[in-house]
Amino acid sequence: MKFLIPGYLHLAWLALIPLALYLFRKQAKRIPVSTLLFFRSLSREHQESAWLRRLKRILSLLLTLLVLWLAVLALARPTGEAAADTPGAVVVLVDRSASMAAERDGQSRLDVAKGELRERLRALPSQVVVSLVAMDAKAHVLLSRSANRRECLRLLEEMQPRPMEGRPDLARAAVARLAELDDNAAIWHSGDAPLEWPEGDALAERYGFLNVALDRPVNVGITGFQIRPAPLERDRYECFVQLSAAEANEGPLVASLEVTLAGRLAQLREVELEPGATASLVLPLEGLRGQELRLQLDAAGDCLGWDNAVVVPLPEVKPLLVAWFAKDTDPFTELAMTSLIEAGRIEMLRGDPSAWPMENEPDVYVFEHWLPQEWPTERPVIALEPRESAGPIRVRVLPKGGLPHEGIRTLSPEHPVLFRVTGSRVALTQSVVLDVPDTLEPLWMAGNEPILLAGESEGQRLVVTAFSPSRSEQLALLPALPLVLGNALYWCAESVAQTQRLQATRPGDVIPATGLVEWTEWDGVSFIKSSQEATLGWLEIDRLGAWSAGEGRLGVAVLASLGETDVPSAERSVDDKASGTPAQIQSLRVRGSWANWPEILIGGVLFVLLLESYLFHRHAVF
Amino acid sequence: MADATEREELFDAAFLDRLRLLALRLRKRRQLTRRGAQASPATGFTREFKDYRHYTPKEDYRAIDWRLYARLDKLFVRLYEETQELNLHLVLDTSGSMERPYGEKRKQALRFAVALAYLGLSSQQRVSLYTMGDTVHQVLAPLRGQGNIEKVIQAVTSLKFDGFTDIRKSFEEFRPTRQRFGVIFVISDFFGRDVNSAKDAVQRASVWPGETHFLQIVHPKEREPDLDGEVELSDVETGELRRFWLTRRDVTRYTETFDAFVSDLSNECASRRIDFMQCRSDEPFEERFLDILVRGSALAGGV
Repeated sequence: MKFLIPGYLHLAWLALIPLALYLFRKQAKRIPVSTLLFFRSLSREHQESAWLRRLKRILSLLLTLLVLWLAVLALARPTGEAAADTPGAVVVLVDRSASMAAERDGQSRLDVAKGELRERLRALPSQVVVSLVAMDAKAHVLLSRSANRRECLRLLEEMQPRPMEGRPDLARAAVARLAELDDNAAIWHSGDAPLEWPEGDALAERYGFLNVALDRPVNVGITGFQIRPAPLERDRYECFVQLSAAEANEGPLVASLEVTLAGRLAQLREVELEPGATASLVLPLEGLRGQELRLQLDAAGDCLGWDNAVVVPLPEVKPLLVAWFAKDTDPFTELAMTSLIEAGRIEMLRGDPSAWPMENEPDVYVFEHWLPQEWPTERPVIALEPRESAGPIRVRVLPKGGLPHEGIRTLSPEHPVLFRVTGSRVALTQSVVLDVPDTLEPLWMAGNEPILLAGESEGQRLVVTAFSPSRSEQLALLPALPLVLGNALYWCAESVAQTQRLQATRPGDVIPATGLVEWTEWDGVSFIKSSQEATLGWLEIDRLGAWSAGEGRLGVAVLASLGETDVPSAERSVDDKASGTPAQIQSLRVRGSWANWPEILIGGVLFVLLLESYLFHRHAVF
Repeated sequence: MADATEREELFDAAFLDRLRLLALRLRKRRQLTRRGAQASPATGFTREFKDYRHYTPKEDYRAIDWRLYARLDKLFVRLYEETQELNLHLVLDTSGSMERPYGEKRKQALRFAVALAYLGLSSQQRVSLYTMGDTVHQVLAPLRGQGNIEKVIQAVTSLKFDGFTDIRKSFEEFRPTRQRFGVIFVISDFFGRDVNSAKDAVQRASVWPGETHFLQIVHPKEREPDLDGEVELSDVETGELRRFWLTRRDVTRYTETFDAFVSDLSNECASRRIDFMQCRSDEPFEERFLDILVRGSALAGGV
């Protein structure tokens, strides 16, 4: 027998106290009385023979010592010698990502996992230390190397599925760190998909997977969502929705998508999805900013509700504020910039270099033919045909009006700056030679020289041109230049949060917020109103829906996870390359006979106390 | 020598003086004129004329008053006062409980016995002394005359207080005859073998000829024992040992039981026309003794 907390055995010296009390007990006084006639009527009479009294006294002492010893032993947590294959530690990993909320018969996968693990944890030998890790968007170590089984079971019991995408890589790293702390640690993973271990990883041998995936799950869900104002239109929006079906679905599934705007049905779509298939929809919407848009997907037999709905307020769009400093404005550039202003999406502040530096910071700086020596680092910069070096841009002006090129090469046609811009038949006149950081990506090349570059330098987005529009072939450039400039402005402003007041977040993200945050929440079944108190100025997004923080800040939290919507089936999980199987976890249970010893000892203490009370104190009235 | 010392302690000269004084006070209070014989309602053969009655045949013709016959021509018989000797029976409990653990009880009981005997002897009554324990023994044959008080004192001083009290048996065996008609004083604590034994004994005492007085001597601690915690109590009469764990509540219950016992005994005595009086061992003897006599006793009437 071993003791988990042998320090408590020192308390055995407490046995000396009852022993001393027994040895130096106060003898009952013998008092002569005239008659015992009236004492006999008293109920609390100890009428017994001397030998019986002595026997009872010794018995009482022995029972007291027994109570004390049993209590000390129970505190010291006795355990038996564990079998050779019993691990010294167990790291329990529980998947509580969104897919574990998949239900059947009112029982989620996490409920099943908790039930299975509870039995196994109770049967574990007491000397095995247990760590508990919960996996969702992060890996949460809830309990680290503790022998306190009750605490572990409590934490396990409190665990609830969270509407987040699981991060197996983070979880694997966490359990690996914990498992490496003990020589013979086992990893028990309960979830719907096993962890993947790198080839040759020694921990894979100790890994056991407890599969709680559904046999035949049925699920479709929204795996992509985006909403934006329709270009060049007022109070019109474009909503992009991606629908996916789980691979484990038995066959094609018809899902209906109900779109309601401000409580009124706006659209109803029906989509037939093959197992594992994805469908994308672009929904044109007409509504006022702030109106609530709800998308709800419905399919027969769907087991996971969290990925079936999105609620979002129609975003309010703020015009892009552009500061345009020009020296000798190029008329073609002026024409392109003016056309953008007319679109109503961009507010343009125009000035000459004498106005620099300006008081208010715009969203984007545009410098034409000029660069400030005090380089602005907080905002993106579009440098059009710079004629002097400043900041990260080094230039050399070509003499005699520049170098004409008959054609250009487009190196990155997918770059957002070149969205819908064609480079064919464009003839340009290069006016400057650029020397820019390597992090900038050349988009257009004329000969061997880049004449349009975009990229980031020390966290600042830069777009630089090295051609003169007025001296170039104008016919082809006429439609291309406004597009390039418009794309460049939007691309540069993309990183500036204020361009759109709607903040898209995913569960698990942390947002700055203070005070009460109001939610229109999707709980997997219905939309409900709730609120959340943000403490310490930060709030972790742990639910789905639209939120509203103070100062008019709006946001939306969407699951939109292909991995979670693709709810795995039990067969698929077993077929995977998990090195452990449920049988390996099961085999530990037969060695758990010593696990109940503390309970047995505490039971013994109570029994002996009751016995002593009955034997010696049952007539006592206090 | 020890007896002499004890005698001095119990009945010193001052005590005897107080007794005499007590007798004088009684005499003055009652303004009694006669001394010696106690008049009784019966007619007898003394020289004291009492009354006349018509003669009936078969009566002793010597009692006919011939002078009256001569005057009235009718036969009358002269009736004379009959004087009876009053007997004072003192029954003293000599069980162990009267001496141990509280010796004051014995002292008080002996004082009462001697005082009563003195009163009887000084009233020219026949005084007998009995001891009561497991049975009744006569210690002193009937004595008369004040000079016998010394004998009484010697007798009571030499009494051994031991053994247990069997009230039933003692009262059964104590049967004063008609000839010994008189006043009976039982001085005891009346602690029998069980609670009801004293009540049974009262029934037996009710048939005794004469006037019966029960005088219960108790110690204050017998009513309110000063006990607490675990104690082993030993009965001084039987030697029986019993262990108790006593609290104040138990002591209160004990006192209630004791009071109920005394109350039952008193009521039973009252219903049987027996005078019952309780005297604590720490009470002043003289006042209590006077109380006994004032309550009404033939003994007091003879002083």
